[in-house]
Amino acid sequence: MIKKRNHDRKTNSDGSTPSIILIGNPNVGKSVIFGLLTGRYVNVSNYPGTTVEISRGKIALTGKIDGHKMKEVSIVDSPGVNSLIPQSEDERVTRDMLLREKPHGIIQVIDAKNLKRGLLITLQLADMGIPFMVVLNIYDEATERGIEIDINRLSSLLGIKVIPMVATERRGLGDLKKGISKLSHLQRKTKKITKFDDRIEDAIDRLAPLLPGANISGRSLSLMLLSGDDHLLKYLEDHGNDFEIDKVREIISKTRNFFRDPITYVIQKGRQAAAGDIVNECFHYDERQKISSVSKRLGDLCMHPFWGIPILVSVLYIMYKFVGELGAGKAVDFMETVIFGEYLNPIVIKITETIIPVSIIREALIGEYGMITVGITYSVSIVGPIVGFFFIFFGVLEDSGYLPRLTIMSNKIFKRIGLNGRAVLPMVLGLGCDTMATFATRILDTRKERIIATLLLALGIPCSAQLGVVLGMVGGLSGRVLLIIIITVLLQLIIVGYLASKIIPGRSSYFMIELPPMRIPKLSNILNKTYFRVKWFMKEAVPLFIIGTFILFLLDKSGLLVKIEHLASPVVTGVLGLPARATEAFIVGFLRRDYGAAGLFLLAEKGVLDLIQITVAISVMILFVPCIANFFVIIKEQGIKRAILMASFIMFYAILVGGALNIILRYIHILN
Amino acid sequence: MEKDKKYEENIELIGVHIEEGRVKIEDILDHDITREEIISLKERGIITIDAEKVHLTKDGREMYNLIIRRHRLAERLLNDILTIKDESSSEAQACEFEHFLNTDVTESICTLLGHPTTCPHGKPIPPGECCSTKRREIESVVYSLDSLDSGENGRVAYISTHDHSILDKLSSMGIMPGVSIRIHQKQPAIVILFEETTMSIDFEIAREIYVRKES
Ligand SMILES: Nc1nc2c(ncn2[C@@H]2O[C@H](COP(=O)(O)OP(=O)(O)O)[C@@H](O)[C@H]2O)c(=O)[nH]1
Ligand SMILES: [Zn+2]
Repeated sequence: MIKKRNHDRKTNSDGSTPSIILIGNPNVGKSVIFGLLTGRYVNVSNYPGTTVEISRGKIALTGKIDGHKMKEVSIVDSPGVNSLIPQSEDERVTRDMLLREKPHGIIQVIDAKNLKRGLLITLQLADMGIPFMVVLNIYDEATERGIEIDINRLSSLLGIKVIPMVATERRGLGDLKKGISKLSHLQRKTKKITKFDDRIEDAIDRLAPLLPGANISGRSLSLMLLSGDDHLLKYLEDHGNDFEIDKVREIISKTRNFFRDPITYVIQKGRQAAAGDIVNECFHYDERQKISSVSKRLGDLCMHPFWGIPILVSVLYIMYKFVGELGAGKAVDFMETVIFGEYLNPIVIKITETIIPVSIIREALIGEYGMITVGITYSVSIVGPIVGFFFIFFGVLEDSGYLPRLTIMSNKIFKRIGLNGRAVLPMVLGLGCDTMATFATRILDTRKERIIATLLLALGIPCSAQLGVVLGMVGGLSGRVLLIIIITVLLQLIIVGYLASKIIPGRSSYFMIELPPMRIPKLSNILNKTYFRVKWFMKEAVPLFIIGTFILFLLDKSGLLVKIEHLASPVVTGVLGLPARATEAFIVGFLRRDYGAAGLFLLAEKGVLDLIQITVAISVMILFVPCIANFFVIIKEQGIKRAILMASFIMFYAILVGGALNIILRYIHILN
Repeated sequence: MEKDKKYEENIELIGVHIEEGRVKIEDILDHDITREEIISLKERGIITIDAEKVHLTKDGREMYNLIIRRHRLAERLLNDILTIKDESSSEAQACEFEHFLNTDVTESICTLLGHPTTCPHGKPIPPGECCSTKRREIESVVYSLDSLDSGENGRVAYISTHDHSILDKLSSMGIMPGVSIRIHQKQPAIVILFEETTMSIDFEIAREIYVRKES
């Protein structure tokens, strides 16, 4: 009987395995540690009701708990946060996880050299009462900088286990695993390490007894409530009977009124002082140990007002070589012509032809707009390798620490168009795949910024599939054509961005970004990340390509496609000055941007298009409505109304620019 | 906001009366304050009333000290540094001014003025935390972070922002009064170094962080 009860305590109410949450500031190596602990058995999903992604996995542990052999512990990675008092959606998710997931334990990961900042979270965890331990990760960099941390002293000051670790070299992993199996034995216990202002302590003493029991201690809940966490107030009201919300509100407002400064600041000051005391006792510099590092000098160069620019150009060039030539060229060739062309598709076509007698279904699968021969083949054999190569490159940029420095280089320009330097991340990602980049606009702080970034991605950031074909087509012709196209597109990005920043209501966020030191990326880590991203791409984007193909199939079969072509061709011939046959390329281009470009390529090869027409056609193609997968994602992220509005605007605008370009080029004679 | 202001002004008013020995309700009543307001102060635990005589509670005394300290420091600042001598306008401005001062700003003004003990009228300024600390080195004037050059250091004196979310973000990153910040570069964006952190912040944010220069 007793055993049974104990057992219940150690499992969740739904009978699942005990769970542990990983928590930490951004960039402390949580993902690497999560990967080390779980291997590949990971499930990434959105946290319910939010756009924040979290990963779950399982760790196999040896050892016993209460006489029960422990086999598995489930582990959840939470979004990086600087505080557990929610200021952003990420922080709210992390707080919610602590409240609702009822974890048995927490592992807090700290960047050892930034011990003090980590301790600000440690102190919040100590107040919560959930058993936890601290991992001092990236210990190698702390040592390099001449930092010595007295681990035993720290551990005894905090009253918890502290493990030094170098996750990228697997150092400390054994201790961590041991720590985890011990963690599940620990009892909940609130540790009052921070002593707040008397007023606040007093308010806590009065609030705590009024609050319903929760997974987090009353002390901690009180502090969150005092900080103005209204979501929490609502949660408590729903979960406690006889919850005297008015009394609680009164104590909160009285306490807040007393202070001249925002109360969050007063509370934070208390923690800062406590963290400072701890750091003074166990964190020391030994200047003699300090090695002057190449990494620092390189990092400085990457954001240097002058040297930063040639570095940026080189990075872009390498990216072109790696993603464009190797990925979009060689890898795609291999996948498309060999794997799909010679092996897979012929087999699939054979099978389909023998087992599916109805011709219309057969055509939907393997016809001119077949879901298998076009939809899957395209997304897996062309977009797949390009995106894969791109993600490898992107991973290197991320892990080397270059990406955040790139945000500095570009902050000024982005500020002009209502964004800030952080927007460079989705924009660069857009050069790989606009569809994925549109998802990535989530990292931007305000609604306004997300709308602008989404719009600009759809308007003028060509994805790698399209870029490949465009460069191949124009490269052989004339440098001027390429230059005019680039200028035209960039100009539109700036004009539309500028106008959008003035027209769209709401505010832009301030730029504030931490710059981690430059590091040599770990191959395993990059491959791991790429694996998950490609997997994500296959799961999220491939179905959209298939649906898109199917819609095109329906349009084609119902004869609507021809009608649309008829309707559109006066615009194409009249406004843009292109031959009627180019219309098809534009419409197909909506499905596959590069296919559209390739269609134009064929026309050009046949000598149907002159240089001006090629320039106009390609500019319009790049500016034109994004591919259908991108369009679906815009609907998903921004809602159908805004998506249609954006698409209509872009279509109209692209034609307008194309028309103007046509007139200007004919007038100034630089291409004829 | 308006209500809070009125509330603080009432505490100040009553406190001054009590300080000057006028404790009877009638004495206080004909000075810009209504009976309802006095009752409300009582309900909020600022004062007690016994036999028509008003006393500050412990809470009330603390509140009053904070408020009057800000007011009198503001007077000193206007009077001594900005040399606004016109009595009536200086008094009115100090009244407006005091509502905008937070603790850090108040302490900085106090330090800047050399921790004065009396206001220009000679009334006492209750001491704050800054006055009791031993290390009272002669302080330089305070600069906003963006006005420092590359390579210069400053220790944060206070952060003065209307946007609480910026304050929260900065403080959870560890940027708080007392932290020493070095300007690494200012172009193409401001990059700062503090402790073991390198960070880039917008010009607008840097302008709201006030520091004392350090060598
Ligand atoms: N030098 C060093 N780098 C590390 C260590 N652990 C993680 N990193 C690097 O730190 C960066 C951030 O790691 P990540 O796991 O993405 O951080 P997260 O944001 O907390 O999930 C990556 O570039 C890692 O390769 C470590 O122990 N030593
Ligand atoms: Zn002082």
